[in-house]
Amino acid sequence: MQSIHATRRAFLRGTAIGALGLALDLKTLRPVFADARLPPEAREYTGYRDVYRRKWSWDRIGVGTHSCTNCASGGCSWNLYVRDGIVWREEQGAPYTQTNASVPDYNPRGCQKGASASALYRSPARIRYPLKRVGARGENRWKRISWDEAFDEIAAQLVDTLSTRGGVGGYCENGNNSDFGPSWIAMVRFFNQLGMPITENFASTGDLMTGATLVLGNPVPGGSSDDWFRSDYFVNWFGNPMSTRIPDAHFITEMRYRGGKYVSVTPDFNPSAIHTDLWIGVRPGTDAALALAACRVIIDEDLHDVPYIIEQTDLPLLIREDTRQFLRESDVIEGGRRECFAWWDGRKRAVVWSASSAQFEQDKRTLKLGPDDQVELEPRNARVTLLSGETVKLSSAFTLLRRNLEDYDANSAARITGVHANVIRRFAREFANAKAAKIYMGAAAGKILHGELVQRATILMCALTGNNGRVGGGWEEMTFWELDGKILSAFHDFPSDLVPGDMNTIYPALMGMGAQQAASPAFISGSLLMLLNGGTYAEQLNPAYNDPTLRRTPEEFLKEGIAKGELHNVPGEELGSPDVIFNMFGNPFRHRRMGERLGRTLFAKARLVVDLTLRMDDTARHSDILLPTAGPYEKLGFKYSVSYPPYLHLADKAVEPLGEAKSDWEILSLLMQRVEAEARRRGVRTVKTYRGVEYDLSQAYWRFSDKGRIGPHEDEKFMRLILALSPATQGITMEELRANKGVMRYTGVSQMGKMWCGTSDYRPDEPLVPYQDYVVRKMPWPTSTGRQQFYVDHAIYVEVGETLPVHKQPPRSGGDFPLVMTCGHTRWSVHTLWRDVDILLRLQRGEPVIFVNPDDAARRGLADHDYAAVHNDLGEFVARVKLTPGMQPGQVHIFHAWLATQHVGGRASDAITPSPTRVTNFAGKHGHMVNEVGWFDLSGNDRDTRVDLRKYTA
Amino acid sequence: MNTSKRQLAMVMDLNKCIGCQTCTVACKTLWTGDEGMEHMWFNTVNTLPGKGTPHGWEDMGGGFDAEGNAVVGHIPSRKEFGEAWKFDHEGSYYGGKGDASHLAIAGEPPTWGPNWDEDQGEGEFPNTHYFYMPRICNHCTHPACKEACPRDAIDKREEDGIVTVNEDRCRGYRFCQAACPYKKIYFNHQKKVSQKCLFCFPRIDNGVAPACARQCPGRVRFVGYRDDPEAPIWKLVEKWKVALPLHPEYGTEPNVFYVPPIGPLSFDQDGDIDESTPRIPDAYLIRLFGPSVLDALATLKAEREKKRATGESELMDLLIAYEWKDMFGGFDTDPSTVSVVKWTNAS
Repeated sequence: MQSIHATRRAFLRGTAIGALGLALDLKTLRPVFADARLPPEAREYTGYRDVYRRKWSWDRIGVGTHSCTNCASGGCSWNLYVRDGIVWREEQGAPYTQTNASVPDYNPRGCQKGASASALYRSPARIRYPLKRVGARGENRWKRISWDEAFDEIAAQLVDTLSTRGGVGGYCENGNNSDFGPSWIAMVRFFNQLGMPITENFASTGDLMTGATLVLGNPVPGGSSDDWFRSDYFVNWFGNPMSTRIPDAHFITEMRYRGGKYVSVTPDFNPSAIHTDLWIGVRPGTDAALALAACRVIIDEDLHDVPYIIEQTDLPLLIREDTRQFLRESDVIEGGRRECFAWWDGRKRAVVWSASSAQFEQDKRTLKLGPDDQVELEPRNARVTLLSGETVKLSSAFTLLRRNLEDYDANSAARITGVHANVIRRFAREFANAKAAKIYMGAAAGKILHGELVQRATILMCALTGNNGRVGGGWEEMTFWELDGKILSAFHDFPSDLVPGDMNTIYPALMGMGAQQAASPAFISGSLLMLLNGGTYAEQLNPAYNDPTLRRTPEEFLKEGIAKGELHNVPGEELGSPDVIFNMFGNPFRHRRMGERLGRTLFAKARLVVDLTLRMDDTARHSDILLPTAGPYEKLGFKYSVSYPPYLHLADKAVEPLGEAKSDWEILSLLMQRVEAEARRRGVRTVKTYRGVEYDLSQAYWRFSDKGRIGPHEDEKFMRLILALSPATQGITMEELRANKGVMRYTGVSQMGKMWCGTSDYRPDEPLVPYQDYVVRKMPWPTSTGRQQFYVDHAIYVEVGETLPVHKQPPRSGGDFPLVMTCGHTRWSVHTLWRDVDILLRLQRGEPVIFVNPDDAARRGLADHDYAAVHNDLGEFVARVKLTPGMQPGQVHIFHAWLATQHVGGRASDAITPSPTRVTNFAGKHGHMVNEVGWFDLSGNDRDTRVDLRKYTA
Repeated sequence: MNTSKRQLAMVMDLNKCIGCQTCTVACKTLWTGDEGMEHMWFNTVNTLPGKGTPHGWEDMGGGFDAEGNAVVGHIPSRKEFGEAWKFDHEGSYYGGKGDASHLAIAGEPPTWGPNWDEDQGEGEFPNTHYFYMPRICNHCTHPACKEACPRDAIDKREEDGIVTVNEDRCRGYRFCQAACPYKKIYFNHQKKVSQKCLFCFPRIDNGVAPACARQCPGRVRFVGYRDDPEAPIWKLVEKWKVALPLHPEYGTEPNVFYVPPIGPLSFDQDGDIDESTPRIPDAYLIRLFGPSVLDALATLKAEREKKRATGESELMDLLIAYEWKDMFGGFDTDPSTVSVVKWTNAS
């Protein structure tokens, strides 16, 4: 070993000597503390280590979470470290205890967005006081106004509109970026009481899984994420959970260490591929072919679970060969039931009406077969005589499925998907042979035109193998731990009248809301509003961007659906000319495909656009008055309750709102007071809701505030109502929550219909597995057949050849261009939130990037970090090229939710995604397939968009 | 030549790291928010293979050769680390220029940053490969930075081996930056001192794991004394030998260890599965961790299979970490229970 001096000289040889000259005396930090008014507990500076000790110090700790975000994590517990009245830092509370000793615990949860939330809430984008536009919309010129000025102007405009046109004269754009508490309640109560509709955007964003609605009677099924650990074969399909489910991802990596296999099916080698055992790089949009080929292998090799299929699925049910429709009791028996279906009994040689059918005698409905029942899965020569006297041939859905699958042998599927036939076979066998196989479906499965088919085909894999309802198995997307008390507090006129914990008053109240919703405006379909009034009609209905096998134009399907009344709640022409638009909890310029067109259509027609917003964004820029809302650390709320963590998360108010910001409840309370006062001043009393029902505007605040019982600063009353009125939170109090770092395990599941989590009994010491009610207790599924229903016999499905899941080639959405532009949630933002936070941008490239395969880039003369114009029929946007061999040749990928303002040219990728309409989304009024928001609605999509790239120079 | 009585260490499991950068942000918001520190990231996570932070750091020298001779080192520039880019929020939101202005980066367009080559990786589709590599100061047993400092301004704590820059003594000569082969030392151009990861010693002193470890949602990081046979560090490093130092040939004896990544199956030319060729080339892993990486991978695979077949494996149970607190070798105090010195009058 050389001497230290020699070592030092050696290290430095060749380095810049100039650096030596930079040395300056380090000023002692003593002056900082040389203040006679030092607190008694403060110490004198004793050395450099004190600088760091001081950094890790605080005045007090609050508890909270990021309730005001559309983060679908389900919640994370955060301690908020407060110094000088602001949250300077947050760190996970990590209070979760193991569900039981067989699974890892949920600690610590959180992600880099959560860890930088205080930076977001203090960021330059934050709105600190009410602003009024002084330039043109979108020009970005503003002046500060007082709350009084803002309220006076908005109240006057609202009374103008309501007294002349009624509730049809305006609407509220709604994103999903709210809490499960007073903020969301404030919005619903405000617009419900004023009789103005609110858009619902579950489908518009492409998050609504209509295929799951059809098959499972639940658009978003799922359980708790610690059940992932118990899987033996975990398939991520279409998703990217390592980036988008950061707090839960460890259950997957730990499942691998338990001995389970992890498989991922995505076109690109994305961050969720790197830790897999097998990654299947399917061609974009061909996933259904892969799934159906796997089903074919499973059936051909007798790996399917016949008893499960017979009991739990519609595959043994009989289909008329003449009409391709289910055999219904009404076909055969005078006065027979329409929603009553049959299977073929091998012993009796006759049809037997399935006791699971939706219209079977309610007290006898069950999936359980009798001891004498002999269900034939593939009957031969099954026939029945119809009422007309005609005899028709019958096939089981399984027989038809087997016929359909003939097109999906492994070699044919290999040609479609680009996946080697041996890989398909191996995947199918491993999936079928696993003790428990799970398909974790990414939300992108709703975001291609034929996503519904992918959903149906992948659920079929799970059903054929008996995995749905199995511990560690089954198909899941994402579900909610619904808080019924939140629904009641929002929709019930006087929720304080309900007796907490008394289900005798709560259930009738919930049931009564259906009728009330028919009379009150509540939610309208955001995707239909956009299609009909948002300026996107031509692109969305362009046959060239749609399924080329359609024999009619998409517009004909739409018109037929409207004419037949099958579409729920179509936003009419009058709503296309609103006087007043509000925007809350969202950024429709961004979250709607081609959302920027709102600026030329609905927004252009409105006299007044009011945005209640945390910060400046694309929609705020095109609004007239911005009302600054309190951030999650500055108001009370509960976190949006996704089922993965079975915990309720309280967002407590840790600090005062920044600047002049106010909570949503306070803002809308004060505004409603002004509206009521203005109505009285003008002598306006009776006005009409959106649906034409009359009400007294001069009593609006009285109703809004629950007979004056919940004042502008009494939002905690709603928190307590929610806890008391929700079956999932029985026994939990605010005091206990606060004493437990704001986190407590749910005590039950929602009873609100057979949806969300409420499909199983819940035990706090077991991971939640969905569908125990059906698979274990044999209660019928919430579908027409009462079974997992793969066959759909609505006329549109018969017409377009989708009675059973099939593969259809992805469309040329946006024109005939050589590259497919896929999209997905990024690890770096929750939609547009956090997209423009400096410290996170510095961990990226600071600008929007589009991922491109090096060969595709080279062919276009593009190098890494070049600007590219990404273009198609609809126009172009500009982004930096990022090269990676992880991108499939022919595919480019842009992670979503860059703000338009972050792009050179001010346009984001959504501007060129035409979101063609899926014609089956225009079906309805057919058994459980009811066209309704949040259930079965027109789905937005963008992942089929065709583009090309060229070098962009400014 | 360890000068400390005990040595704290960290093990990072690359099979659990998801590149989310929560560690990076947790560290940033705690330690490097001050002026002069904006460009510093005491904790970084990079996609490997890649050029990392600072750009091409593995080729910048420092450390010791096989004979223990110091190796010439380059002082990384701020540009090589990546500057703290400034964004024109004001102009974009209130400048009155509409879509003509965007949230641009002020000044020259950057060409590198702390996570510039995120998710790029290497290989040819479909045999692309990459993984994430989190890095902090290695708190080396034989710290080159300390040996290089003419001011004796690098402290290695006797009680736990944490290496810190003594900013009272530092005069900004930057020998340490040249000497550190991992290039984990930054220079504060305002204070004119070197600054780097401090293994969160104020937290350690209160029994709390470092922020990067305690805040890691992927549950990647184990913390503890190297010589505690009851704790995971000793078991993973010494007993099971599945946790290895990065670039052991740099000669500084790092105290951060990595569980190497098991990549997915690769494909042959026809697209069929190729069981014989690992997706992440062995040679690359050997370059990072030395030849014993192959033994570590074999142990991991064998124990995983044992766990699958029998439900039993001490190693797999350790890596799963059924109870999160067990990862921290006793440094599992809840920070919200720590009573810190109050430095301000505010309540």
